[in-house]
Amino acid sequence: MPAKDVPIPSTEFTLEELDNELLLYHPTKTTAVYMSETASLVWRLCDGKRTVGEIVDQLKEAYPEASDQLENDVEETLKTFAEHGAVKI
Amino acid sequence: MPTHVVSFAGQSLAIKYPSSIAALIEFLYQDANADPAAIPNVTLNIDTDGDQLSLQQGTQTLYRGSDESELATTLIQQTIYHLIDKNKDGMALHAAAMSKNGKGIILPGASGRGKTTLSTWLATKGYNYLTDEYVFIGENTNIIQAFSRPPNVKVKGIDALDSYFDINAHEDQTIRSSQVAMIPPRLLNPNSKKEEAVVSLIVFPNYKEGAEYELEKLSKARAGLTLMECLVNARNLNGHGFSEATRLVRDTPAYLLTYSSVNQLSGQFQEILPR
Repeated sequence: MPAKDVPIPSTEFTLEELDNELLLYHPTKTTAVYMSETASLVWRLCDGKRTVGEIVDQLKEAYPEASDQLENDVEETLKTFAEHGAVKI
Repeated sequence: MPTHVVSFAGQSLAIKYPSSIAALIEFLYQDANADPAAIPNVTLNIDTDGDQLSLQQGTQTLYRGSDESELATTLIQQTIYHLIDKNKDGMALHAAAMSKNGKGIILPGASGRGKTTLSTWLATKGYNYLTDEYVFIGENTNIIQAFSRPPNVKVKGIDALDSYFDINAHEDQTIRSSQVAMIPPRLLNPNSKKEEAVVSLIVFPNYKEGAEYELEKLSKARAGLTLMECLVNARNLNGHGFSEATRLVRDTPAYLLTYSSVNQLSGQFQEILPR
């Protein structure tokens, strides 16, 4: 996934924050999407302006100990979001 | 012809039946709510003609035959369907429910997940049996309304009872059809009573043949996701009941219980149960 791509979050989902995790529900498709704590962080950084690269950088700054795997984690998470229609890239 | 009215979660259904099957109606609905003042949404008619029984809704025949137990199975299925189909005042969950001292346990799950096995076992451990099939939780409440019917143990799973209940010793007090055996709850727990109970624990049963026992505490988000899968009237609810399902899991601890036999349900599982 190119670092300059910008994930655009869908506005069609209803969102519930439960502890540090998120549950998204699409009322038309009647599907729910579970987001782990890590996925929730990525979701919160998807504001329609940040690029994939900027999201990775921001998370590396917050979690330097995990920086080696963050690029891959963010990419996988965004792919999952896209599969559910939660973001467009 | 006598009429029995069954009420559940604000919906009512009338059953007109010949006196000759009054004992069957009593067996099936003795713990179900009956509100004689309610205006039924639907009426089901049972008739007899010689040894033939028929169950009809208007002109539609739902059962015809000579087997009372098959009639009973169809009647219960139809009752549940009509009481839930149009309900929009809260969450109707495919779930069993038990209680103790006003604290309720709901056991949501699809057919075959072990709801009935777990609820009948809990009944033998002193918990009040509320239902093995449907629970209604009104909007903005955590109070369990249970559709109480005799536990329906699937014939193919009847051996699972062996270690805690001898069904053969009570053959004359149970009803067996080709699909299920129906057991009066007070055979499992003579002190079982209907009580108002607040949801204090959610256990998602996950019966799997040959599985190792595992009790996993679920995060609230995972519990909400799993609960949504058990919501049977989502189409009738605002936002498909999403906010109500998440409201319930915010307040209530939830576990996923994988098991293949009740003999696995010792210490750790019993510790999470309300006392």
